[in-house]
Amino acid sequence: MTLTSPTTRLAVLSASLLLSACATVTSPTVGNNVSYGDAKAVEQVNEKFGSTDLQMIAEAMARSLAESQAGARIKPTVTIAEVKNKTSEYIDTRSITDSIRVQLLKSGTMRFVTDIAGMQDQTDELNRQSQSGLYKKSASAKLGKMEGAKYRIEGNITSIVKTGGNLKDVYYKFSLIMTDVEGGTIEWADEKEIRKTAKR
Amino acid sequence: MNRFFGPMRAARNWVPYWASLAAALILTGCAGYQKQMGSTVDAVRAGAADAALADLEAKNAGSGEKDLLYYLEKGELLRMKNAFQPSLDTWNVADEKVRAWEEQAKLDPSKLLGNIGSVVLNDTTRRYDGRDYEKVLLSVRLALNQLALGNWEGARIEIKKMHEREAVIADFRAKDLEDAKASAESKGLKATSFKELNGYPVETLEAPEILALKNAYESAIANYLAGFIYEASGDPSLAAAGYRKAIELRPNQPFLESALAELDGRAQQGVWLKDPTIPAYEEAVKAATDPKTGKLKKGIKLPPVPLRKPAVDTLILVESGLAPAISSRMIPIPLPIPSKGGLQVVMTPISWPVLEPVSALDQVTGLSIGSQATPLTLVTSVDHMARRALADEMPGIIVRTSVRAIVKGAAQKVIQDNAGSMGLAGTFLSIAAGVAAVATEQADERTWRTLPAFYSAARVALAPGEHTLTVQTPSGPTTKTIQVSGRHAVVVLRTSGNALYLAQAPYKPAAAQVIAEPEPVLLPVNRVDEKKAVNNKAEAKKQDAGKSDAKSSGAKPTKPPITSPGTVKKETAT
Amino acid sequence: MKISTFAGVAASLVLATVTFVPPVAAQTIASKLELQGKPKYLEVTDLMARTRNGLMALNIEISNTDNEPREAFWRVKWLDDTGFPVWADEVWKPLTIQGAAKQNLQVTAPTPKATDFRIQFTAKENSKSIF
Repeated sequence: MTLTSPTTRLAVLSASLLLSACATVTSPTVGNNVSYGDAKAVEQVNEKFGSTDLQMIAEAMARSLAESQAGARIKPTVTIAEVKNKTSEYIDTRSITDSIRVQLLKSGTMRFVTDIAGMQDQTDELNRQSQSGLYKKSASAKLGKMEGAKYRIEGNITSIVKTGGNLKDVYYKFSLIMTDVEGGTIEWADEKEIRKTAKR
Repeated sequence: MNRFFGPMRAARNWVPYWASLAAALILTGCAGYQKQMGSTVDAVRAGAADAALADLEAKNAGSGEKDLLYYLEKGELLRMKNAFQPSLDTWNVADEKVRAWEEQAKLDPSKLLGNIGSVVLNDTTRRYDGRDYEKVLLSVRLALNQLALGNWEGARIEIKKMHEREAVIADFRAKDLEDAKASAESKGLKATSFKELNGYPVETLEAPEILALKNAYESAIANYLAGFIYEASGDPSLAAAGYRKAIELRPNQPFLESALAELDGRAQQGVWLKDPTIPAYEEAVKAATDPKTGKLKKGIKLPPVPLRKPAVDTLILVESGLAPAISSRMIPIPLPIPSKGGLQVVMTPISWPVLEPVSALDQVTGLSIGSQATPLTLVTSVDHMARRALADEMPGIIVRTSVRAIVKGAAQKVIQDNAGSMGLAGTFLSIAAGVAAVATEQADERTWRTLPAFYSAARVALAPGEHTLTVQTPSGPTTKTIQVSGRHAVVVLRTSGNALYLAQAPYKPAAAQVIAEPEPVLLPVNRVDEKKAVNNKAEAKKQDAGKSDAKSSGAKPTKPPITSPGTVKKETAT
Repeated sequence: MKISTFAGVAASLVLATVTFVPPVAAQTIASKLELQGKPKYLEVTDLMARTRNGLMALNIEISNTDNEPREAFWRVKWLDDTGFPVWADEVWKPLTIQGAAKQNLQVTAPTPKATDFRIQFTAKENSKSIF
């Protein structure tokens, strides 16, 4: 096909006009089989522990902790120990404590020291910098300067599940306590309860 | 009733005819899965995995898409041959099919449930979606293959998929059960329980241990393995859920209960070899400690600090036997058949699925490591799960089959009613129709046959390196050499006939050597400066050891470095 | 959504005393609310804000005018003096209020940077149209 014939030219012209005039602006997507949802939306798919529960627990706990330390002149150093899962559901409690830590760090009310899980990597890196002899003295981390935590946070999550007729009732309780490492006193404690009821 | 048995009685006089016709029909129709798999299973029983695989391939030689069962069986046979990667690839195809089912179960369960009302299709012609326990155990076997390849991360992913799958099945079954009930009621069918089938071997589905199962798809072995893998990857909170679920599913088993009870200790302290000198040392320290102050009394000389040796937390899984076969059994049931004179109750012969017994001899009871006898605990019986699955499925099967029989019966009735006027030819026709109704109806015999029937397990703290395992098989003791390294190890033994197959993670001699470095036992004593110095040195060593081990085995060390003597509890070798 | 759009809605809401520390005084409840739809049975009947140890704390009272338990979803947007958000989106929180009951929601700002707020509120049952 050439563009010389008048009819063809007309066709091409009208086609391009059509495109510029009527075509709607497309969004920068590939395919449309998947849709992105609101990560903060309330998930009500079933009564199992879900994203909303995780987010609500993390938020409530982080706020309560931040409030307890607000106004303190020195930001305390804290470490998060394990949150024990006492339910028979596969709940990744580390994901909850990670969220709590992120929120507290963002709020600027506490400082966190390396927790047990990250200790190995931390000491390895420190030993490498201070003892391998490969690094510039002035710009490498020195031994004996790691900060110990003033407080240790730990807790547990429990659940009570009841089924009767076509109803299933699930109750979660997430409790957290903060202990003064030196004194062994419990400085703060809070819990978040969640009740979910599902109809079959 | 009489109307039906009339032609049947006549049929006895025509046995040769009946036999040949039935044979012809069976040949043209599809042979039952039991029969089809017979020679493959025989080869597995004889311990000839290669022959079994060749046999399976020969039977599925035709082109066209292979079904789920083919991939399930093939993966298992490849695993027996220690071809873990090909087995993994094969099972991944099966897993893809199960995932498609999952998607449908999640998004559009009505489509799957619609199967219940399917009148035209025989059960055997329906797509095989896998029984629920097979779907879950497929994930377990994928995880075990990943472990055999030394890929703990991969195993963790499979395990996560496993419990997500359990949740999908639970949701789906809740809906399914309601639907089956409603469907049966709407059709006016009375017999929806296998107990009402006169002559059905009820005992095959009704043993107390079958009724005691929570459901047909959750197993203690799957959840225990999940716990172990999560523990090995440093997730005690997820591990706790796995062990707790395993205990719920199989209560009062010390083997399962101790896994949960000792989880915190293991997570904080690691796993150590038993050292006979440690109790004596502990006693000496206790005797030398002032009970009031908790400090050591002055002037008492303590024995030298014993060195404890790190151990590999080893899970030994012993799989044995074959999942039970399903065969067809003909049992007539009374069905309302529409005819000229309205509904008539006619005894209609229908083929029902019956689970064959498995040999109790297949269970492995004795295991020894070196010369040490180690107790084995039966964690899961797939035999029981299969029976529970069928018991749960029976109402649906009865409804489906009955409805189909009513439709077919109506057609047969017409022929019977007219047979008398047609003389001898009519009788033949009547018999033929009866036989056709019988022979074309075959129970769904499809089930994953090469799946092990019994999972037994033991958990031991082994020194890194080589050990010999001896298993009591029906034909006598068989020995295998295993090698363990890293912090955690899973060793899987499978018996089949006289053969004993072994699957274990690749051995890393370097990792085994590094981890074998001993260190001093730490006791909660408030004193002794020279001991502290020793501790610190050992700490540094241990950290190095932990690190290189993590790199090589893919498993994260779960044992934290002990930084203050105050936090140290007593000796923890298990 | 602009708050001014909801001026009409605001009028229908009960006004209450707002002891509001910074930055502006004499604001209405409505000016602090971002309603998504007009709630059919639920109303924000009281709203208090104060600052404790540098963190803003809110007390929100929701009333159910119906006899049945009613559900809603809510969250708070934390802003600074200039109206910029100072915190990432909160999770939507489900809420059930028993029939003919009042419920207090207490919430503390996540960061001292928050000096102003908007309450986002969505009832499960809304009146047909708010326009």
